Amino acid sequence: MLTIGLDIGSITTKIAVMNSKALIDAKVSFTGYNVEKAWRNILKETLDRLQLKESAVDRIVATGYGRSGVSIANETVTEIKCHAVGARFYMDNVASVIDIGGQDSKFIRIDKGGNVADFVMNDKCAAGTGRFLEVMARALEVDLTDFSKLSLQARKSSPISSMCTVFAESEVISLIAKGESRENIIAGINESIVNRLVSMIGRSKIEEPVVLTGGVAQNIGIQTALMKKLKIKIWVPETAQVNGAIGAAILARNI
Amino acid sequence: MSKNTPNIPGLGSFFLKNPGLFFKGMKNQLKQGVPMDLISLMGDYGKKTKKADASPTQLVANFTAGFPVEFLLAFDVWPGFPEFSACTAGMCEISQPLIEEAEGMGYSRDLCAYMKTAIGAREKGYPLDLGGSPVGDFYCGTNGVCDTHAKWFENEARKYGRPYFAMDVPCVVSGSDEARWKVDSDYIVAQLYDLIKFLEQQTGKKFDEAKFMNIINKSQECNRLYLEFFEYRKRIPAADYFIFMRVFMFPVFAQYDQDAAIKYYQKVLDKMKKRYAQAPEKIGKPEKYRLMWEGITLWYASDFYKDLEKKGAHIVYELYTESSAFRRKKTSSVEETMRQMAKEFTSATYILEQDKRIPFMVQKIDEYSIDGIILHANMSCRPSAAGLQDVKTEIEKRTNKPVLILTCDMMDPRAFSEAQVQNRIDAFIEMMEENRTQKEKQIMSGGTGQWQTINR
Repeated sequence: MLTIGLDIGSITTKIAVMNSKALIDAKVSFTGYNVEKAWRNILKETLDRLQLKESAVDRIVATGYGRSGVSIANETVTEIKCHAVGARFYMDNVASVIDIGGQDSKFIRIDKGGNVADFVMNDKCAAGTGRFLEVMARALEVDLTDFSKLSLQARKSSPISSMCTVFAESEVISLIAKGESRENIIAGINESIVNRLVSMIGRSKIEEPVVLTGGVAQNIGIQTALMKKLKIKIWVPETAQVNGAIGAAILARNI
Repeated sequence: MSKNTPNIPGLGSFFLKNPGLFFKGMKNQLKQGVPMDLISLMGDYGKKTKKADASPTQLVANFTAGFPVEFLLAFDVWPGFPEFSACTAGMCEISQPLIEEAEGMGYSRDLCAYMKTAIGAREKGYPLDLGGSPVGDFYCGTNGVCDTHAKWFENEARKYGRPYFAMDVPCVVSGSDEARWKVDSDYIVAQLYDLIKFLEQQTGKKFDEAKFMNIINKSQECNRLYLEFFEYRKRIPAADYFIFMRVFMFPVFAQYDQDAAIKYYQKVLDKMKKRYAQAPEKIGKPEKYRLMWEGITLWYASDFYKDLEKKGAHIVYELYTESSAFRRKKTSSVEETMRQMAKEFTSATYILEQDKRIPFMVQKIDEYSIDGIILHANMSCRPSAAGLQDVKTEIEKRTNKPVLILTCDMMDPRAFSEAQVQNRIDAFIEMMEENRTQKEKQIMSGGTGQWQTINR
């Protein structure tokens, strides 16, 4: 059986192709203005690369904010459920998933049967998400890969107290003007994201093992700060960014 | 007392100046699907309020939710209810510019959106049907439901140089005992006697006990009928859902025409009883999931409730609408009525302290066969949003039902992000579905025998 999961996020579109046992391929592209164009392009490119025809695909499940726009999907499922299922693909006994996406972050608690027992999400504000990091990286003129590593070289973290992405950017500019080092500012930014996440997670109950997913999961500074703050070990799958799409592809097997 | 403030603008003159806004408001009002007899009852209140406002002799007192309006009726004072007008603006989906108007005057984003809508509507000269409200000849407020409303009325009375009667309801905290309750009750009853004196001063009339008790009797009957309707909501399918109930509660809340309200509720009940007896299959809609809602409704988002219903999720019980019934127990004297009122003010469903609120909700979850609970974390309403996290944790623990906290606002659409809300609702429905599948699996495998009905 060949299934596909399409995760149409606010910033990126992800695809995962799976057979009945394993992940065959995964890819990420920018969503942009035209959602339909985004998923059609990534689907075509992926199938071409795998030298497969669309008719070879048994089922497709779409997830993410743009899921309702995937006209060829056999079903749509929320990314909350998909991330829970995706995390279980790597770790059968996972109890908690922290997902940091482009415009929202979420905490998902999974019961012993592998079902979503509870979830909490950020509300009405993109601070603490991938978009926040993008804005900050732009203000500091650093690309996201370097941004991830630089915080590890910080001697201290410069606190960012603002609750708003735009105001936090002003705070960062003010810190630059004061001569604060880029590394220290980045460490402060990571810390502010982690503080928000930990506060959100506090509204539910975290249990180990914990899996971190989403595009921001690849940021080593965030991983480190999160583990330090929560005082627990966090697992980050190599395919963290496409975890929702993997979950969707797995769910497609059983619909 | 002479009336020297400008009268509330009429709908006709507003239409001539703002035809686009008028049509938008009316269109959105109509899409609520409120039955004609209820619209007519509400329209009648509007007409009579305008008439009272225009009359040189009829006194109008504006009152806040939770204030014992029966005292005003006993003195032939017309009850003006600005909160109701604000709700109308919400249903017409025109509250945002009114809120922004009030914020432009310096009111903070965090303050009650009912208050800001009403203030904005007054400033912009909106008619009663679209959020406006008359300037009261005097004001009657209480902090029993919301302390911001008490300050709102105090400010308005000061602004227009009008007398203000403020009734202070002590906040009952968890662990209060009978001795504390006796002190609170004496304190409230003393204030109700002060209220009588205040109304005697304002109207120049003497308090007529017999007339007051007649009004109280009617109020109790109105409440009895209203609450009886809730019994039919326990049935599967339920008699009706939140989008109807949020308007259905209005006659019992405002009490301006008790005879008409009693007649209306009786008629609805008779019709309902007949339908359940004759053709129960034609009642309600397919109920895949029965929901409980805690907190104030999203007045501007009727489409949200309709979308929920399209997904088979129906809100069959709300603490909010049930709490609008106050006079629940028969009383036979003024003193006894006042004691009973004191009890009601401090134990209304809406303001229950956590120790009582959680078991109360658990009981209702059972009575109404609830599958999931939505708690509205209302951004501009502290009283209704406080303590929700504790409620969520406890309800999940005690009932094993999914609980969703939805952060929005009752009147301010800026706090309602459709895509985000939709996502949360979809995930919540997935959790309820998962629960159902688990139940079915248990039943099919012999299970625990805990669940008796699965095919709703």
